[in-house]
Amino acid sequence: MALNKVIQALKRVIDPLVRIISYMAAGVLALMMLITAADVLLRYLFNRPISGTWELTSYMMAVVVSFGLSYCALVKGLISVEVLTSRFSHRTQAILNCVTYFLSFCFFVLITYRSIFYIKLMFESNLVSAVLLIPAYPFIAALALGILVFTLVILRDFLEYLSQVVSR
Amino acid sequence: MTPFTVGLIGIGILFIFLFLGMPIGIAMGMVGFAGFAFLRGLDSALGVLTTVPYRTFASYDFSVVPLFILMGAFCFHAGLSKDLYNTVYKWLGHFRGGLALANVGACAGFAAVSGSSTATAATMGTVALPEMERYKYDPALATGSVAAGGTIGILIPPSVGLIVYGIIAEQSIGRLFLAGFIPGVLEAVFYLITIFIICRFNPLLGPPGPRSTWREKILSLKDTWIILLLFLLVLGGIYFGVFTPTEAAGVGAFGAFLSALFRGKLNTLALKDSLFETLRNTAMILIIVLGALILGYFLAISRVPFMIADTIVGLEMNRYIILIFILIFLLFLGTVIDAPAMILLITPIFYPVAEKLGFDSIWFGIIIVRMCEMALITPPVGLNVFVIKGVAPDVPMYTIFKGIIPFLCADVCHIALLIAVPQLSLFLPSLM
Repeated sequence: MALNKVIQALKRVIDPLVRIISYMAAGVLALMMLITAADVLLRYLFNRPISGTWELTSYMMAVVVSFGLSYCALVKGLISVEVLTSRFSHRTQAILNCVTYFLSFCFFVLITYRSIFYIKLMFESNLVSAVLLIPAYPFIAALALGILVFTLVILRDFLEYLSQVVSR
Repeated sequence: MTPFTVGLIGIGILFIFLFLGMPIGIAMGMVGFAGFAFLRGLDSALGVLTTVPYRTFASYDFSVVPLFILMGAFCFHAGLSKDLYNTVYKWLGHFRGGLALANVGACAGFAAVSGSSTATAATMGTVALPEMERYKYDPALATGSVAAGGTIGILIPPSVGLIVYGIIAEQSIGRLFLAGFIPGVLEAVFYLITIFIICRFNPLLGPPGPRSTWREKILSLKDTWIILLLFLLVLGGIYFGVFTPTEAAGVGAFGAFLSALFRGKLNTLALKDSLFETLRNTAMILIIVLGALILGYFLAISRVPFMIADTIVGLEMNRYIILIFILIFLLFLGTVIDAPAMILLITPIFYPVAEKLGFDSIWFGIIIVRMCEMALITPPVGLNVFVIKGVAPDVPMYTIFKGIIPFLCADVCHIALLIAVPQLSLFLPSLM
């Protein structure tokens, strides 16, 4: 069936992408822990804090969260209220999921589009951080990429629910 | 249509989306965006979507969330939960109901490094339930004590619930952590007393275990001192102003990492699992934070929270009666929504009410978080119950709920005490 082919094709694109960015997110998370701890230790033991930890942490957070989103969605980590829907028949659940995931997908297409627009805006204004003068736009680009992949995962979920609805 | 009407319709639609199973954060964000666009035009709403995601994610303040989650994850993967259980058991096991007492004690201990109720319940459930089965404990008491004990996870700092409340209500996370300490310990004491009373009346429910020698007791501490050290480091650091909460979380996570490493428990798989688990939970919480912030913009221009606050204050009822109504509402909602999501959902609506009624903001945070804990074990849904059911699939739901009822009674007494004596929450932060 055509729909299943689309889902499989999407899977082949999404899975490696999520894998790559979630490993990057995990690495940055470990780095964030090390930098925070090193900053405190250096400050109290040697009176030599790492300068700009505030902005480094903010930038690292942008990567950790945006790149973690698609992993979270892939392992079904998004919290929803299931108390009502779990009482419905399998088919009704699939129809409801179809509707909610389609709406979610549209909303995140919009956020992806606005984030890409924001990269352009920040690139042109050349906003940099206060201490280390690191430009912000690469991190907004990371955000846009993370949200794009997240949107693709939601699209795939939507198509899977759709195939459950039409296959019966 | 007045903005107020639009706001109310928005909240109505939000709840419809939630109950149809839409992911909570996305539902909040979408309703917030649509409502904002309706009231202020599409361009302004698109402006919100442009800046808010980046501002929310690239935030130093929120980095406290993944770092504390990471600390708990390292402790878990280093096998500390099991050691902790064994230690408490060596000390309390020979009493009647000793295994159940050990449950609660170990949950409270694990809460000192973990910020989540469901995680604490799941962790302790896997460790404690097989033991209790071995000693022929009443399944109701066994499962009930783990489900209830798990809820201590979000009151004793570090607490994800208190962090998100602090961020939305713009209160100091450090003060909230200190405020949660005494109520959290008291909660554990209340549960211990509950078990003690149950086993006093019916000793068959929880037979005492073998008595450990003093030597064994002391030796068992060598596996768990690290938890005490981490806890003192984190809370002491915040208390004495040595660290910001983010720094405390970073140092705590690093300490947990080192201890796992030196105990030889941190292989590549455990490291990977800790990092990915943290990634998942952080994204899970931050997508809801994003939704809550977008919804917050909409609610603010619709003025719904302020109107609700004005209306409620205008009723000229005793403020404690109003508080009880709010808490009952939270109890209903909290049974189906996990604590951090629930706090993000209701704080923007009820915080202005509490402020108008003259309640202390820190104290109100503790009460809200405490109420969310109780909701986690309230029939007929109670999320922690499902967590325990996942760990102990053979025990019927009915039995688990039966086991929980005495702990729910303890919860009501505990909350009443916290409301009657605000100093229990406010004493430690007042020393800061």
